[in-house]
Amino acid sequence: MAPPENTETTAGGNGENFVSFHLGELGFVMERAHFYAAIHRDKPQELDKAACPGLCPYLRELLPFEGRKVLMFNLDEHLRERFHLAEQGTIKVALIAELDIFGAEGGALVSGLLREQFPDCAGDALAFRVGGDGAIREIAYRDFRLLPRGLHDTLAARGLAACRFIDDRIEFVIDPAKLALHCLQPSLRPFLEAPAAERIS
Amino acid sequence: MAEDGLVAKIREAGAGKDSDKVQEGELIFHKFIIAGVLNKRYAIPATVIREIVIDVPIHYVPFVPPYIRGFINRHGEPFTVVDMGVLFEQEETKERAFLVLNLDSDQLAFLVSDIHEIVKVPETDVYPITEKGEDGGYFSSSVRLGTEDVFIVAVEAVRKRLADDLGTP
Repeated sequence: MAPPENTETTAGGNGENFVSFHLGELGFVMERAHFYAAIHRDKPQELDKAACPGLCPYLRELLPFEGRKVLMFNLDEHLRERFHLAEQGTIKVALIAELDIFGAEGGALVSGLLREQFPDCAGDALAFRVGGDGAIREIAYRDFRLLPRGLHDTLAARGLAACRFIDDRIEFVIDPAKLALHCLQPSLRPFLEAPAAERIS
Repeated sequence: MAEDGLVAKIREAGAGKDSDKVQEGELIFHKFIIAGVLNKRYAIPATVIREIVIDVPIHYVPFVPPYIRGFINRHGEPFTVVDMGVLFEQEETKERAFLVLNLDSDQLAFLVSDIHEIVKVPETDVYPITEKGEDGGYFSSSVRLGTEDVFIVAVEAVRKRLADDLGTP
């Protein structure tokens, strides 16, 4: 992981390390423990989409890392589309995670995807592309607020776990594995849409 | 046993405080906040309202039905914003007046167009709605205000809609 560019220590001193990044005015934080490396994305290799029909739209790049190619999930693009945020600058950061962040079942799914469709890629890791201002920050868990009870289960299942407010801005605590799994698993993709969008009345 | 009795009395007194009924002599009154939603007026029982907030930013959240506009920040806590215009009229509320609800079970705020008045009306002016209309079941009764009948919003029905739509993930 790159050294912290912007460290925020909580008053109580019981902070945990989180990876933080912004997309426009919106902040996102993820547990640092999910990732074992962070690199600035320079020139990623574009995937041949024609060779992978039906592939998740956020899998388009391969990241060269320590002599291997790591498949990259464009987490920033996924979040921008879900939250209707404008495109940002071109500088991006990639965070690399082992597949155990997906849990046993999800890990098997991603492992199978890599083995079958990307045999020349690293079979034990996935990269997550985030905003260019990604940094490590120390934040206490008590600074976060669980989401309102009526929405909590729905949002947590889709990767939005909690939030906190800083002045007029909001930061979401996200679970990158759950966010990615809903895209990688075709049967779960309908859950990306509003659950009741079809019945306003 | 004496303590149990004391606790019960305190609880009962607290429950009475939360009721929208106020007894004055022989008459029982109800208090309502009258809010505008688009071009109509609705009554919300005053006792379910914790605070009225104007012009705070709404933070959008994805994966939810269109009548949920996002969260507002109330003292550091996120409250789900339910747009009453979308819920009742399928039309987005442009204004930013929020009725923050006082519920133990959830953190909810109703987005309305404006706040008109707070009224205290005798129970004899509150009428149950017996016919099932096309209102989605959000109104269980109405209140007579002068010559106008104003629907009373059934907060539980709104919460039930939320639970029905979101269900188990």
